[in-house]
Amino acid sequence: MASHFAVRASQALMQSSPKWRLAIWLLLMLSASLWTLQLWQNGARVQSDILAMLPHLQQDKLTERALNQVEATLADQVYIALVTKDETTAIAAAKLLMQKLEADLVATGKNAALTEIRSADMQLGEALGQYYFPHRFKLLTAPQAEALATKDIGNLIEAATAQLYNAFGYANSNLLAQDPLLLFPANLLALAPSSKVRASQGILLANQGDNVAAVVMAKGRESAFNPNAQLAQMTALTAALDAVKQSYPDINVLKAGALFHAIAATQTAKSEISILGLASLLGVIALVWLAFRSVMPLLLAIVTISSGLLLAVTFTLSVFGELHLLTLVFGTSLIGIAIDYSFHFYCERLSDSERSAKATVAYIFPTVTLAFITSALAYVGIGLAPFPGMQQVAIFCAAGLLGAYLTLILAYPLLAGSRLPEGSRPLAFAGTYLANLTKLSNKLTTPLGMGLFALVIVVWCLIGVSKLTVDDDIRHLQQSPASVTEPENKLRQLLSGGTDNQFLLVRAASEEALLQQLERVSPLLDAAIANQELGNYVSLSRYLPSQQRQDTAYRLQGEIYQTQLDTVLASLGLDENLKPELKAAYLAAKTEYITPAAFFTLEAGKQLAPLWLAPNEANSPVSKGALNDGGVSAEHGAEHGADQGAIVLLGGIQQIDALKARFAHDESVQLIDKVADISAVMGHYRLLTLKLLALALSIALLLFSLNFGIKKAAVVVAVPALAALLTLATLGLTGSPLSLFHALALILVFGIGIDYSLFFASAQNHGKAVMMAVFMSACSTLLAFGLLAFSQTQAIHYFGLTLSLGIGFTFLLSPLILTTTQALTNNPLLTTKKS
Amino acid sequence: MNSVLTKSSALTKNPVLTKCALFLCLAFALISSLPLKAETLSDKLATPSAYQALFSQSADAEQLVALSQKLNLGETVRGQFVQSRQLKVLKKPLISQGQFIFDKEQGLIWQQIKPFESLLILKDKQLIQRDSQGRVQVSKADASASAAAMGDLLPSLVRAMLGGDISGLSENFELHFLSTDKLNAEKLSPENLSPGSQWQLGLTPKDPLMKKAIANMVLEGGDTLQSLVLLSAAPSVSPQDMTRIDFSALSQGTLSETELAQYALALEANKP
Repeated sequence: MASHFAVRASQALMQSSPKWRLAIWLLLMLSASLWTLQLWQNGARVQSDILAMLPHLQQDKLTERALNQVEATLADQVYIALVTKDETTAIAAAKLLMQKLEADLVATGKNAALTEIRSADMQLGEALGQYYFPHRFKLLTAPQAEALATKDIGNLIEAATAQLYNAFGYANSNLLAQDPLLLFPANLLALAPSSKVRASQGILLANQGDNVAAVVMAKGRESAFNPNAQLAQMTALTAALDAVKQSYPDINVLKAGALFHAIAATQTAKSEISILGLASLLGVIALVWLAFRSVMPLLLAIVTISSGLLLAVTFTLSVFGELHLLTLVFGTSLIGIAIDYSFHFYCERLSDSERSAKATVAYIFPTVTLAFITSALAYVGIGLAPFPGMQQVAIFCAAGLLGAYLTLILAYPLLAGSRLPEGSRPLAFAGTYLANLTKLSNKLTTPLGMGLFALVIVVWCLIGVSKLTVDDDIRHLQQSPASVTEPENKLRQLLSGGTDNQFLLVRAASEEALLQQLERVSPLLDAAIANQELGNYVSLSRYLPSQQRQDTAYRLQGEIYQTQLDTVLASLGLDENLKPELKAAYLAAKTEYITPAAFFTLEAGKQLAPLWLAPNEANSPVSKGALNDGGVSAEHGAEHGADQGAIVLLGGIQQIDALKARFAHDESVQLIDKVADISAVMGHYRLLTLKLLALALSIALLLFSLNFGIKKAAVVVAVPALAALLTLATLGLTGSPLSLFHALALILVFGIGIDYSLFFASAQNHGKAVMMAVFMSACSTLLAFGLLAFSQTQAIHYFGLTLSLGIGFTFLLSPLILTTTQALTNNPLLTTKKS
Repeated sequence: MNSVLTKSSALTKNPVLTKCALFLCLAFALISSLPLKAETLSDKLATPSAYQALFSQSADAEQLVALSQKLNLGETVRGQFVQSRQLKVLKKPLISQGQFIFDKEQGLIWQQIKPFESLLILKDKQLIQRDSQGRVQVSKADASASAAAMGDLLPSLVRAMLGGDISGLSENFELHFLSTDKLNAEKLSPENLSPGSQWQLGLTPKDPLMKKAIANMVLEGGDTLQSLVLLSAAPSVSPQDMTRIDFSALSQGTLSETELAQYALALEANKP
């Protein structure tokens, strides 16, 4: 019923007047333009964050919140190190840099590109000390607790005496009057992880060999992957750094931050869009000119491509609200595919120049419609991958094809009416090529020839496929240039290794339970550090002892303040008038606890607050809904009720598996490794895509056998199947490891390649025209995708490489269908090789 | 996707970590910013106000050049010290004594002998301490901020005090200078007056944190260095904590084998 309706509709369309059709086409394009314009004005933008291309992982709410927190806190930071010989210059230069950046911040106000300009924040630590000091009776370092628990107070007195005699130590009257055994400084020091950095005059300093590096940090107000923000941030930074360089020409600047990766990525993408796009366009124009020797086909080719791009952009923006730069790079390949419809049309015109444009369109309508549907379906297949970026590519290309297709159907009948110059030469050329192929295949179809041919292919495939390796690591898909990574690595070394993107998520049912849980995790991590599995970690338990631990410390200090205060004061030579006040202070502190709520109001606490995932009050209706879903995600059942979480940042991970094993049996501690998870998803979908390809081949075999009979169908399907196998083998031989992007490209090879073999299979005696059309189509596709193989972005390079190999093999193999058909009836060798 | 990673790795790398590192220097800060208590205790302290005149004076380059020549005692200096710490909360001053060796190549050995033994070696940005029980503790200036603060202040102070490198001091301190005539004019206590020209060099840390720990320092001397005074507040504040180290028997001459061996403790301590 539906197909009947479709036939009727297409008949009606084919019979409508060319003028009407053009009017419809113009109206469509105009409204698409207006709609796109309006989308741009409403904030649609170009996105260059490769992260946006990555798959969304299936995970529970708390994990997702943890990932978002880590992202939001740590992303968009910019690090600048000013390296020079002496400390004074480094400090002065860093102060100048901060002053310039601050000036820019003040001048631009709310629109400032860079905010939170800072180096070493002195007030921060001071505030921390002021917060903890009143809680000193609830704090003990491990050795202090040990000494008190074993009643070895003499040890503590001795240590305090040694401090008293140290002129440069921290013993002074203020402290002694409130903390006679000088226990607090060690506790405060314990809050600071050991680090290579130091601070002077408010500037963070680190030694780099004989040089000194002053480190300044800032945070981008907007994502570094937003091109406008990127530009603004870079401008502000460059202006400030220029001023520094002018005053201190000997200073060497090291930069690190997502910003610099993003800029490198944007520059690469931009230059690739313009270079690859231009080359592709010029190639297609040259091809059209060589084949048809006329201006009109050229102009129409450009109209086809432009309307394709217009619809592509319109659809993508409507669906996603943004356009990814990588989509545009992939999209350049659209030029090569959209032009195919133009080729089909003009090849037909060339072979029968008497026919009107309208009649030609009507004649090729069924074939082109079929081609459009199969290609669009292939793109939809790509869109099944869980990559928002790849889905965008799929929508972009499918919509682009639709634009080209509509242009052919609606605009060509009126616009393409002009006559073509005599086109015998390209057709004759195609005929000669086909004739030579026929001679070759006649030789091949002898049993010896077939055997040799089969042997070569089988050997090639066996060797190649056996050498095929797999690499799903997303880190290998895009490499920033060394000019970005080298200074970054140097800076990372300066700052003692920093934090990796894996982290621990610790869960518990209540705040106190969580803090106790964190206290259990820390010794495990310390052991991991001792075992060189890990470099460092940042846990809140350093700052937030559990109430249990605070109570223990308080009880142990009773030994000092209640039992032995006289001894303590006497042995240190302290004034006994201090006693009543010390006792009173100890008793008064009993009910005062260090709490997360109070800690996170501190400046220092605010910086660590992202590591704390309190139950989200505002979202409670949502999380109730999530609880109902709980039955579905049964694997997270153990964590139910565990709605409180804390993040422990990890740095310098050496042996992630050993680290994972430490927490394998602890359900409340989870090692979150987004990169590994995404890589695993990539691997999963790579396999799935290859299976999908096999399935598509079998379905095609089934369908075609209804039309052509089993033998011919087998040959038709064997061509793309063989092309895919040969492509895989060639990738194996060249040592290019297989990734999801290879697999996705193979799907497209199938989508495009099956057309070629179909055309040849149904060509009968129109071989010349089909050969020419396929030749031109393959050329333009190779132009488009072959150029992608030159991309600096690995993902695009893989995609382009696979497609050019695949289309190349299909182009070489598909004419053999025509030339060997007759001989084949008695010789089924080819068919046995298809798998 | 490298940038993804970096986005969350290098970049993210340090914000929290580095921040935290800073706290450490802060130990100093906090401590001296605590509210004063026990003010009643301390009338017995010597008055720091003797140095008020000094800190109202600034140092000019010429004076500093002359002074640095006077202080430069060559490659190696050794001597005795007596240290007196007068803290407000202590019933009586803490007196200690010992000896020291300073070598421009090797660094400083500061050895307290009475009332108990302790040893401090400052060498190659390392601070090695040995307590009365013989326990050795090494802090690398690179590795811990507390060591860095000490490691930063002490070497430049020692180099200036015993090696005459005053220009190095101006990086970290504001300098004040007073010479004989003015001292006489101010009619200071008789013990500050000795024959020959007397001088005082006042040091005020530039770093606000350092300033909170040790507000002012004074080097005093005549023909040679005589004493180092540390004040916990401005000279006008009284009472306050005050530490005075008097030097005696300063002598020059190359390091002996035994002395060199003492520096080797640094190497031993360095071994895991």
